[in-house]
Amino acid sequence: MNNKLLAYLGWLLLAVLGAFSLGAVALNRGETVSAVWLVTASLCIYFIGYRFYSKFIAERVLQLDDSRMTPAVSHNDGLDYVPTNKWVLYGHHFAAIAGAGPLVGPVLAAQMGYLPGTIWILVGVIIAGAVQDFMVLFCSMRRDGKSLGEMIKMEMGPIAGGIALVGALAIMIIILAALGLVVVKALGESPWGTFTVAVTIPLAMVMGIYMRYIRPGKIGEASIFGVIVLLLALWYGQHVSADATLGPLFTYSAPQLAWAIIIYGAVASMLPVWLLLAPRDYLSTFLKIGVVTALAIGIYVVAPELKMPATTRFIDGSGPVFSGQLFPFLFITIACGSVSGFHALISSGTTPKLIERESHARFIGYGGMLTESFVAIMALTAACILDPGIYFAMNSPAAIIGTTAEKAAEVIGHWGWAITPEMITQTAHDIGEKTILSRAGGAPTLAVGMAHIMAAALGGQALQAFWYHFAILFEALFILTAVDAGTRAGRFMIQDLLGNLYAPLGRTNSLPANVIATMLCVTMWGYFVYQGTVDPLGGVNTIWPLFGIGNQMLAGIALLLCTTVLIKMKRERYIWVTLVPTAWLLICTLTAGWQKVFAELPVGFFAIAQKYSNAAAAGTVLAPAKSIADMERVAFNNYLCGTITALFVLLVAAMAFFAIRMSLQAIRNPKPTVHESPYQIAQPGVNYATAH
Amino acid sequence: MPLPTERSTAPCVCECAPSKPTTRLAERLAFLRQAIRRIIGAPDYETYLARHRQIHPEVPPMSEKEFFRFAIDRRYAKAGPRCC
Repeated sequence: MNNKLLAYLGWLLLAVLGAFSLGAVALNRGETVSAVWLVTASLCIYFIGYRFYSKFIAERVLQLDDSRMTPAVSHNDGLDYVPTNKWVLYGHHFAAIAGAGPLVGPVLAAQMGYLPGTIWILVGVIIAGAVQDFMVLFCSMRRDGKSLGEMIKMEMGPIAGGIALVGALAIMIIILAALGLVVVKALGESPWGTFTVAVTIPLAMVMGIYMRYIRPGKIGEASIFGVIVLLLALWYGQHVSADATLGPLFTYSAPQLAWAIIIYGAVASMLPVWLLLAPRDYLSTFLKIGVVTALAIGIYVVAPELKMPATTRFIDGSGPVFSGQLFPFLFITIACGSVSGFHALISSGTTPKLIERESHARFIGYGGMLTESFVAIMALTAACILDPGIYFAMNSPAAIIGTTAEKAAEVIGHWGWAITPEMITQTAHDIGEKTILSRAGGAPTLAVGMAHIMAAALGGQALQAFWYHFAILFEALFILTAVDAGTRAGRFMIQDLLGNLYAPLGRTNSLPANVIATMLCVTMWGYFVYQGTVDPLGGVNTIWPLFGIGNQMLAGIALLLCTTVLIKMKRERYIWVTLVPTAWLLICTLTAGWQKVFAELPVGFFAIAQKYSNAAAAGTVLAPAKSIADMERVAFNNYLCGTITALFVLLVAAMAFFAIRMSLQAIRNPKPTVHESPYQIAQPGVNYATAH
Repeated sequence: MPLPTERSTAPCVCECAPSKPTTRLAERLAFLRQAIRRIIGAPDYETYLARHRQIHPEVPPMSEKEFFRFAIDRRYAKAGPRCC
């Protein structure tokens, strides 16, 4: 009894600390707040949410049952199905879900101030994101590790399954386009960055050959070698940048880099996996976990001040980074970190096949997502410790702030953030770049923020350029891995779909079918990457809302599945657990979709398209377009984006229809109608995990 | 399923000396190695070998080299999508 009391006292203290930190962050006006408060408040909320809400879901809603064999135990083959230590699997799951998403969204959302983004990240993850990851993991675990698409087919019918497949493919294409564009924008005119990223390709190949032919399976040796070469390349990059012959060799414009990444995507995804994909995947995972840990420690050591105000005037929708009001656009701009539909695909991938006991799903699913959310909070922090003038100089498109430091300083000064042209050029100089203007896409902003923190913690000013390029390399590394793996996955999805129309196209071991599907996939995302660099209005700011809508839509679909499953399990009384986040996501995505289709300038895609095509027809050229061809390009791309948004909206509506129909059927049926694998009893007290 | 006893009968594929009884430090290092492999999603030969001897003792297992090739191709053949 005493122990219990003590435990509750501990939680109470944590709650008080959380409330106090949040108060410091939210109520402070006029003076700057230390980022430590923001991070502490978040951690307290995560712990409390995990301790109480996830426990409620685990014990009452899902009724996790440790006497039931998990697929890892019943199907244990030592390869795909392996009972795995809870902490190890948590690390594996986190490494699989964490990518560039939680790093980009919060940085873009910082234009509204730190508070709206923080609140959405924290509330969103507790009630929506972590719930989705946990429940999808649970559903898949109870179905032998079936994928999201298969589960939708099982529980909601074949048509719903088909629609979900098309939806997943569309999101995959958009995400690849958005991520590709982030890399392209970060490396444009940056020989240092381009050189280090280019080095990773032959480096990964050497590692791959080493692990396959020279010392088979010696991943540790190859990885240590890889990390050392990477750091050397990073250090040598500054000399490349300064060199008269090497420098120009690695200096490319954004459209050139767009072509480079398109060709890279096509070639890399057709190479054998052991040569490039697997070794770089290992390398990027090490780097990812290392950087996230270092950043968390760095924030506490340096305790930087948040220079961005709690809220800015741009919550009214007039912001330069992305257009649209706080509702609904904040909620689609920050997807990963709050709630990400993509995680539903991973929670129904390898992780459910590795869970040793049912109760572990809580820590791995819910806890893993809380950790990803923490990455998003750190990204937001890194963006908000920058001088707001610098933040807006880096993230506003050239169409608004011009292309010179003088002009940019003037425009940003009018918004109310005093900044001198010297500050802009000095920042560029500090990080070893020629310019920082309009480096949209989140990665460079985050890299500058991280460089500030890391340089303050280790090495001082002199190492700022090194840390900046280290951060860029870290992001580019796993984005390129995602481009490679994503193109492969997209190819399989396309082959799956095409196989229904013409069977030979579905054969995954046929080279021609393989090439056709890969080319289709690359062409689709490549189009958006290239247009993002040549379209005067295009770029990350155009594609990101599309990605956000798509990703949240997928989350909506996954949560609809979870809701249907709860009803089919006859646990209707807990249905609010999934219904509340489902409803919120549908409200946000449908409103955002509606506005993107029907709203006036500058939010609506069709409104922009109309404006530019009318002007082009009349023969006038509107800035920032420079020619009639530019005008037509803007018009076409906006029509295209508008159409895709409309498709997303229809897709969600169709899925909601199927979910409601299936749920009504299940409610009328007095017995559970869920399709779970049969119950097998697990031996009590046996430690199945092979990691001993 | 007492896997540690399995290990003593298996030919030693790691660098640890087979003649000496496994020390706690060696055990911990082996755990760490396995954990890191699992986290980064790399194939783990020891786990496969131990399990293979349990379920198909009559079938000769793949060599480490064969297994490594097989497992890597398999992991990415139906590569699940990567996160954002």
